[in-house]
Amino acid sequence: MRETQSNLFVNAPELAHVAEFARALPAVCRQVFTLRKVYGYSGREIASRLGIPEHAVEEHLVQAAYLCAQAVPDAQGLERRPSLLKRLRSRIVHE
Amino acid sequence: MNKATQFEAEAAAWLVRREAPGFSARDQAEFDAWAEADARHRAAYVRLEAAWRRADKLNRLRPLDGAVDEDLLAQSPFVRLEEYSARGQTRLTSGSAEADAAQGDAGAVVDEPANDVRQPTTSDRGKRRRLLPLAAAAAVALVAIAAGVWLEFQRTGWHQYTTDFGGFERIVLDDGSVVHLNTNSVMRVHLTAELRQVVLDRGEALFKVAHDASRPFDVQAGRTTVRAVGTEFSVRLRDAREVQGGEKDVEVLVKEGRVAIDPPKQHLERADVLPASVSTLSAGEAVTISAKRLHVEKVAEADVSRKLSWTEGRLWFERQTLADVVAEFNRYNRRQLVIADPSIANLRIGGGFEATDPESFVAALERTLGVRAFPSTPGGSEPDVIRLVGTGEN
Repeated sequence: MRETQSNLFVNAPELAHVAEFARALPAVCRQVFTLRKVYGYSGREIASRLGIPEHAVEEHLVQAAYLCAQAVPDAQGLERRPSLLKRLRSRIVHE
Repeated sequence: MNKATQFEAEAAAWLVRREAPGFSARDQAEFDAWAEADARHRAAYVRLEAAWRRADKLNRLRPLDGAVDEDLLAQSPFVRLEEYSARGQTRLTSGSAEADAAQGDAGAVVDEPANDVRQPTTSDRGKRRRLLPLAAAAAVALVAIAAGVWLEFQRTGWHQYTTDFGGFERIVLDDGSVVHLNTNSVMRVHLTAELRQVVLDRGEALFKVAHDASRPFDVQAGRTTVRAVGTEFSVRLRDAREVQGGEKDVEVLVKEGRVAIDPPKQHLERADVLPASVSTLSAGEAVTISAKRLHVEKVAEADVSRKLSWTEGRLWFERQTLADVVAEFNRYNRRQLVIADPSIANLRIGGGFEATDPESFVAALERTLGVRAFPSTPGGSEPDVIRLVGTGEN
């Protein structure tokens, strides 16, 4: 029943970075990413929920994985790359 | 595309392919060959995979009620917090509600017919979220016209419940949830098709929430919000006088199931705690939240029962100081106990007592611990107190 102890003290800054990164993704890419990472959906489940082909889901995931590594600081706590986030955000315009 | 970028793009493709079902031994061999071909391939892959795994932590954002929303991340969790502080604005208006409550009788129920013209008609979560900035603006507007606020509450279907000193109420809400309202408390309730909202303005309450995954049960106490789906937990607001150190706080204790805690914003700005959807508290855990401090602790099952024994009108103590015990009795009775002799303040007390019968407690103290009690003269000019002093034997 109890899967963790209270997770009030999980590493918030790190999660905030990831969430901020996700927010900057293009809409469909973000939805795909959300269903995978927040809800643990499989490629097929994502495809059926969003009504897009499975190979498109895969492409969105590849894009997200690529951008994720750019945007999220690594274990050594490398600085975020604000310029990239900014560029990502500006892409939302096309939605 | 430079080489490094290209390697990362390739690595991203591998990462996703490897996660997909049906990744075969042959695929694996192909991947190995790619990774061996250039040290930078493997380096890029390791880096991407680490970032991708860190993103798995997002699963903590998954709502407790099992609802799925692919647009959950359209706003950052930290932005969603601001919606809660917008709700905090509504909270500011409760001053007038409290004043009204203070004039009411013990256990009085203000029960106006629900006539909620502002109740959202859509159950679309996304839509609701887009409406939130509007709702926040509306809340601010409400503060501006404070005079009309209480009427607004009545018209929008807020029910208010109050108890006096020593009063207890067992309240069954329309959704089947049961609330025990402890002594000297004020609570407001608003049930809609989408949300069950409770505001605890003063005192303490135990909530046994009827399970309804589609309708979260939110309890707001001070600037903290507790969200449950189906569970049992208590919330207590303590004012500055009741806390050592003199800072008001909120205490949440979970008896059964799990609840999500949304603490005041400054705890999030401090960035070592997270917003509601991720900050969960399980059975046998308690959190105390003040302006400066947020403290989580485990509570043994026996202690949970003891802490909630007030629901049966009794107070149970286990090796607590007389000072603490006296403070607890004083929550329930107009007739206050006063320790007039510092030497007895740290006597340890155990056992169960009627919350509203301090006289019997005092008699037990006199019998067993050599404490002398001096009640003030009834009808006299001084306040109604019982002074406790030592006899030198303790």
